[in-house]
Amino acid sequence: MEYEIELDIFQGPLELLYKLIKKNKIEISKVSLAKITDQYLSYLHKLNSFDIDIASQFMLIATELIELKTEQLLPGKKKEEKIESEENIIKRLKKYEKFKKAAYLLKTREEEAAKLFGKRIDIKEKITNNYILTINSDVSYLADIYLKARKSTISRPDKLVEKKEKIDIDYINEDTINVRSKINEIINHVNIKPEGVEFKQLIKDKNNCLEIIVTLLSVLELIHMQKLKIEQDDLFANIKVYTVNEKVCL
Amino acid sequence: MKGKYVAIIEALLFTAKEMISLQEIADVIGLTATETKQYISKLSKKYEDDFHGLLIKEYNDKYILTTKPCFSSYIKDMHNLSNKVRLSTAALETMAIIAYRQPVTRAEIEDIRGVKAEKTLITLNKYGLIKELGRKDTIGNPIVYGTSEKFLRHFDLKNLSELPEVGESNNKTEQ
Repeated sequence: MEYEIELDIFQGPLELLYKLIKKNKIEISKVSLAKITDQYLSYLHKLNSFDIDIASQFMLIATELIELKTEQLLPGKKKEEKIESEENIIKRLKKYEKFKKAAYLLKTREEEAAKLFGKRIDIKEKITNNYILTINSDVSYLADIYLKARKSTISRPDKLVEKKEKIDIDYINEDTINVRSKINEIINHVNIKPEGVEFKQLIKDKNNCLEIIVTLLSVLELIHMQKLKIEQDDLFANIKVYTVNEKVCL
Repeated sequence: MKGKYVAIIEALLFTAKEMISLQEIADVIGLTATETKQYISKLSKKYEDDFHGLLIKEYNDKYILTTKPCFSSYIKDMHNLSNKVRLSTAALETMAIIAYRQPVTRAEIEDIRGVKAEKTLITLNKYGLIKELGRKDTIGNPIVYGTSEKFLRHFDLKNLSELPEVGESNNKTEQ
C-alpha cells in the first residue's frame, strides 16, 4: 500500500521526468535528459521502500538516463545503438506531454460541466411498474390460507380486528421490542431446548404484530449468522427452530 | 400547431432523467427526425432569454434538459449539494488517452503514461465514462476501450469531434 502514497506524488517515471524537466525550465531534448539524471536518481534514493513493480518501472528509465549521461561525459563516440533508447524516451515524453495537456483541457471542461444540473429523479422511478401478480387459485383457497395464517399466530383472530391501538402522537414510546434483544431471547430459548423450539413459542404476545415481525427478523438474522437452522414440513406448517451447534452464543 | 410540438418536447425532456435520443422523441410525437430537430432547436432558442433557467444539452444526438451553468451556486445552496465527482490527475490522463486514441488497449495506455492502468480503468469504468469496444485482433486479443455517452456529458462535449485540439490526430495513425 505504501507505494501508492508515492504514486500520488509521481505517477510513474514519465511523470517524474516530465516534472523535472518543467521544474528546470528546459526543453525536452537529449541534453536536458542528461542534465536531470542526477535529480531523477536522487528522487529514487528517497524512495526507500516501495513496490517492486513500481520500482522496476522507475529503474528502467534510470538505467537509460545513466547510460545517456555517461555517453555525454565520455569523449569516445560509439553512438548508433544508444541513440535509439534516448530517442525513445524523448518520443515517449513528448507524447506524454501531449496527453498531460489534453488532461488539463479536459479538467477545465469537467469543471464547467459540473455547473450543469439535470434532473435527479426519473419519472419512471416514481411511477413504478404495476406489479402483476398471477395467482393460480380461487378465492376460497386464499381465504383458507389467510385464516390458517392468522390462527397459527393469533389465538383469537377476531380480537385483532376490534383492537385498534390508539397511538399517542404527542408522545412516542420507545420500542421495547428490537432485534437485538429478541436475538438474545431466542438464544436463551434454544439453548435450553436443544431438540428445537417452535417459532410460535418464541413470540410472547401473539397479538403484537411488531413482535411477530421482529421475531421473524431475528430468526432470519440468526440463520444468516449460521447459528440457527429451521425446518418446516409443509407450506404454512409450524416452523421448528434448531441450534446449529450445541450451544449458541454471539 | 407548431407550438404544440415544442411544448410536447419540453414535457418529454422534463420527465427524463437520462438523455433521450432524437429518434425516441420523433417516434413518440410522430414526426420525422429532421422535423423534430427543428422543434428542439426552437425550444432551445426559447430558453436563451433571461427568463429561463434551463437549457437543452445535446450529446451524440441525444438530448437532456439541464440548468444554466450560471445558476449552479444557487442550486448547490438550495439542495445542499457537494461538488460533483472530479477525476484525479491519473484518471484524467488515462481518460484523455482513451478519448483521443480510441479504440485503445490497456497496454497502449500504460505505454504512454509509463504506469499501470488497471486501477484507473476500473475507476473510469465504475463511473461509466469508458466502455469496452471489443477486442483487438492481435496476440492475446486485448480489450479495446473507448469513451461512453456519459463521458460526453461529464465533460460537456457535444460529440467526440468537440474534443479540444491538442495536436493529436484523433486516430491511431502513429504506431
